[in-house]
Amino acid sequence: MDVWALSAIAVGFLFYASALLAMGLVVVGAFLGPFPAQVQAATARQIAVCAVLALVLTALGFALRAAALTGDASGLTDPEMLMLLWQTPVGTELVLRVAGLALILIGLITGRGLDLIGAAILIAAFTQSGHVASSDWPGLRVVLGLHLAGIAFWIGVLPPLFRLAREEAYFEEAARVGHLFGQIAAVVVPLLLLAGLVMAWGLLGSLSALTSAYGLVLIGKLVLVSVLLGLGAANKLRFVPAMRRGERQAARHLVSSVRLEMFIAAAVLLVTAILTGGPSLPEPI
Amino acid sequence: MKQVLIAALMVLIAMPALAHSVIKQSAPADGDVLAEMPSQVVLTFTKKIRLTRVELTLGDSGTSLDLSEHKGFGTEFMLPVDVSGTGLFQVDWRGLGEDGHVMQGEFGFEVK
Repeated sequence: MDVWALSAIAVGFLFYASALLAMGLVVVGAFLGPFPAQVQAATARQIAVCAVLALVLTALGFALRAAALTGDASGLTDPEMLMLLWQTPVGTELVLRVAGLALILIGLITGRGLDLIGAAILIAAFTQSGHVASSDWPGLRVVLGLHLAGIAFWIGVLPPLFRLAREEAYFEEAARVGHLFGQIAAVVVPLLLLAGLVMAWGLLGSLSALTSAYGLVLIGKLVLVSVLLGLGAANKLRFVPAMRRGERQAARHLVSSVRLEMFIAAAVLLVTAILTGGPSLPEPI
Repeated sequence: MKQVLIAALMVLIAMPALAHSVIKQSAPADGDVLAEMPSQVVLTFTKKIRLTRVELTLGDSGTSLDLSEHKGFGTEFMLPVDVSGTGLFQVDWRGLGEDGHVMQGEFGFEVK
C-alpha cells in the first residue's frame, strides 16, 4: 500500500466523520430539536463546517483515487484517469455526494426539509461504490443505507448532548434529549447492529473468512463498537435516569461518557475507512 | 482514551500489510527464473479490472508496458514486452475494480 492509497484512506476517514456528522446533526436536530438558541446556533455552525469540509474532501478523494491509479502525482489531474473514475460508480457517488451536501447547506439557510433530503441523498451516495455495491446481493445496499442512517443518528446526537450536559443552565434539556435519544436508540441501535451483522455475513459468507485481513479488521471494528455500546448503555441506564431524578452529579459523568464516545466513534470510522479502502474481500478458494 | 489511541495507531501500522491483490496468476509467475526474456507478461485476475499502469523495472530503470489495447475491464491481459536484459525484474501493476476500488500489486522474476 503506497502513499496514494494511504492518503485515500485518510481522506476517506475524514469524509466519513464530516459527512456522517453533518447528516446526523441534521437528523437529530429535526427529531430531537429545537435546542436552546446557543446550542442550536453552534449545531448549525457545525453542520455548515462539516458539510463544506466534506465537499472539499470529496473533490480531494476523487483526485487522490486518480493518483492511486497512476501511482504518481500526475494522476491527480490526468484526464484519462479522472474520466475513467467518472464513468464508474465512483462518478455517481461524486454527483450524489455533492448534491446531498449542497442541499444540506441550502437547507441550513432556507429551513428544514431540504437538509433532510440532502442527508438521504448522502446516504444513497455511500451505497454506490465499495464492497457492498459490488456484492451479488443488491439488498445489501438497502441494509447499508439503514446501517448508515442509524450511525449518523447516533453520532449526530453526541455534540449537542455534550454541549447541553456540560452547561448547568441546560441540565433539564440535557436530561430530556438524553432520554428521548435513549428511547429512539432502543429501536435504532439494535437495527443498525443487525444491519451491520447482515452486511458482514453477506460480504464474508463464512466464519472462516474472519481470519482474512478484512475479517481481522472487521473484528477490530466490532470490539470498538462493543465499547461504544457499553458507554451508550451506561448513558441510557444510569446517567440519564439519574439526571431525570435531578442528580446534578450525573451530568458530569454523562459529559465524560459522551466525550469518550466521540473518540471511540472516530476510531470506528477510521477502521471503517480501512475496511472500505484497504483489504480486498477474501476470495473463495 | 490512551488505549483507544494506541489501538488506532496499531491499526495504522498494520495497514501496509492489507494491500489489495486480486491477481489470480501471472506469466511469468512470481519467483520464476527464465533462460530468456519473455515476449509478453500475462496477468489474470479473479475479478474484472481496468489496468491503468503496469511498470516493468530492472534495477533503476523502469518501463511502462503498453496498455493501449486494454482500455476496458477484463480478467486477462497479455501485455507485449519490448525490453531486454538479464537480472531481477519487477512488475508493478495498478488498476480499477468495477466497484471503484483501486487495486495494486507486484511480482518479480529473474532472467539469467
